[in-house]
Order: sequence, then structure tokens, then C-alpha cells
Amino acid sequence: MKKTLVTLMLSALICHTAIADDSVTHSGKASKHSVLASSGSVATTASVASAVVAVPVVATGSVMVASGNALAESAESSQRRHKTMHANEPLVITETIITVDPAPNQVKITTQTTR
Amino acid sequence: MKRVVALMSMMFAGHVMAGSTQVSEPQFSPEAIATFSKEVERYAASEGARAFIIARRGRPASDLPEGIRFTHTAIAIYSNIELSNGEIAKGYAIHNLYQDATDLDKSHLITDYPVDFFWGAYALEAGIIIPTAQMQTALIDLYTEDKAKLLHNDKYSVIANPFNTQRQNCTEYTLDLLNAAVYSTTDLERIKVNVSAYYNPQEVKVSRAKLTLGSMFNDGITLKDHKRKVVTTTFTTIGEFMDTYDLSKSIVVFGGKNNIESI
Repeated sequence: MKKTLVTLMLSALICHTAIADDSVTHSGKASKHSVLASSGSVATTASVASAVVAVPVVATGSVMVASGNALAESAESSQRRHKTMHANEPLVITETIITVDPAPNQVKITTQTTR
Repeated sequence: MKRVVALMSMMFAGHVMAGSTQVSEPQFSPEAIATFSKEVERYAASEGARAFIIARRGRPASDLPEGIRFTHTAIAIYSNIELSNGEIAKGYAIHNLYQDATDLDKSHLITDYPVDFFWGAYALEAGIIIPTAQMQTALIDLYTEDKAKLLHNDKYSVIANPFNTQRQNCTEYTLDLLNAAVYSTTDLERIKVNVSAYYNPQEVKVSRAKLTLGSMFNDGITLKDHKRKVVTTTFTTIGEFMDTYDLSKSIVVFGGKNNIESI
């Protein structure tokens, strides 16, 4: 049984390239901020910052629009009042490179490390 | 024996389909990733997109089954982002369902930012679906009203069946969010009825024997939620769904500011 299982596995292995899944590769989580901040071209054009929280920008001056398709009609019937924003207006984007990773001086250093 | 099993587990996890994980090794230089991420943001902003569907490829294209171009899909929302220095910056926050890195059959809802999103991408290429203005508003409402989390099922499978609520992956979660926005409901049973009626999934063109073997060695893969034919949600089929029902303004593959392909 053991021999059969190993044979089965190896047969499949030969047929495919052995690769690691995303989920089993890990980078040091706190390193991304440092890597970005220290990389030459990024440092000369933009700063790097860690995000604390993000809140969706809610448009002001919303207006009601008529729905124009079957699914939207269903939405209307479910008492959902769809508003629309001023569509297609370009939005402002910060030049700062924002990451979830904290800066090194904001990391609580523990004795446990990840690979 | 254990090493063979471990190797097989890794092989099938990667070959059958890629999962949507938060942390992975960069395939490009940090400058290239940062520059591309900012280009994606600028493109979406130039289109006036306050909410859009964003996708990345987290595996080499050669490893992906036929019909699969992107491996991870999420919702990007134009936001006021509070930085650690107290400043407020405007940009896109990306709302993800990520597979747990250790408990492969579990997932979490995690917000990150474009440079994090593309950090482990295998191609500097983004799938972008910009919904209609109405859909954008409805999607944003799900987040401002804190309802998006109600659609999350933490039981994960890379090849989750979109027609039931047994398992969920990142792309199915996105599809559920879209339907929640359309029908103004967080009732997953109702959403699944509508998904079954209107959405055409991607057939997973990998033999059932390989999928079964994969499921033996990787908790993130299961066939328990499938019938005879194995189907799942993809960025492409979501795009087709939104295009068919006039829910999208544009669907592109963004490969840089001078390389934008409408699909």
C-alpha cells in the first residue's frame, strides 16, 4: 500500500513541474516597508508610508438616476435607492507609496521571526 | 515518505490552481512593483473609478489551467487613508479575502494597498473592471454600512463552487459582493439563487483524478461542494457577467500606462 502510494505520487510528480504554492512561501512581513523605502528610484520620487485605516470617500451631491436594465430594476424593487456619483470625474491620487507594513521603528520586536 | 507527501502537497496546491494569499515573495524589483501599482491607481483615478474590481496573477501563466488568467480578485475603493504619521492621503484601499497561510481551508478579510496587492504578482498586469456609477455606489455602501463582512464564508477552497455557500474563495466573494450590491441584500441564499440563474462560471479544466489527488494533500482544495462538473469563479467570467447585464463601464487588462487592453 505504501509502495503504491509513493509510486502514484511520483508518477504525478514526473508529469508536472514541482512548484511551491503562494501559501507556503513567506516573506518577513515587516521588511516590505524597509525594502520600498530603501530602493533607489522609489526614494527619489515618492515617500513610503504605512496605513493605519482607510475610509471610503463618499461623494457629495449624489443624485438619483433611473435604472436601465433588468438586474438594476430588481434592485429598485428591493427598495434599494441607488445613488450615483459624478461619474468619470478624475480623482486625486497621492504620490506616497502606501503599504500595510509598518515602519521598522513601529514594529514590536519579538523573539519569534518568520521566514 | 513525509517529504514526498509535503512535496506533493506543494505541487498540487500550485498546479491545480493558485490560492489567494496575502504574503508572497516579490518577483520584480520593489521599484517596478511600486511604479506599476501607482500606474494602476492613476489609471483607475483617471477613469473616475471610486470602486472597481482588481485582479492579479499570483502564479506563472504556464501553471494555470486553461481559461484562468488571474489568480486573485478583490474590490478596490477610493478612500481617505490615514497614515501612521497622522496625515490623510487619497488612494485606493483593496478589500481582499485571503487564504490563511497555515490553515489552508480558512480565509480572512484583509485590507491592503496596491503595492501590497502586487508584491508577489508574477506579472505586472492587472485585471480591472470598472462598474457603472450605480454599481460603484452600491458596492461602496456595502463597506460604509459594514455589510461586506456578512457575505464572508471563512471555509476556503481554491476551486469553490459559486452556486452554493459551502466554500468560498476570493473571486466567489467578489461575485457575491456584486450580487449583494445589485439586489441590495446580504442574504446569501437569495444571492446564490440569482448567481445560479444569471452567472456562467469557468469549468476547471483539470482532470477530476488530479483534483481528487490534490485535495488529499492540500486542505485548500476540495471537491465536496461540487457535483459532477467542477466549476469556479474567475475574473474573466465575472467580467462577462457584468458586461452581459450592463453592470460595467469598462473591462481591461492593464499592463502599464501604454499597454491597456480592452477585453
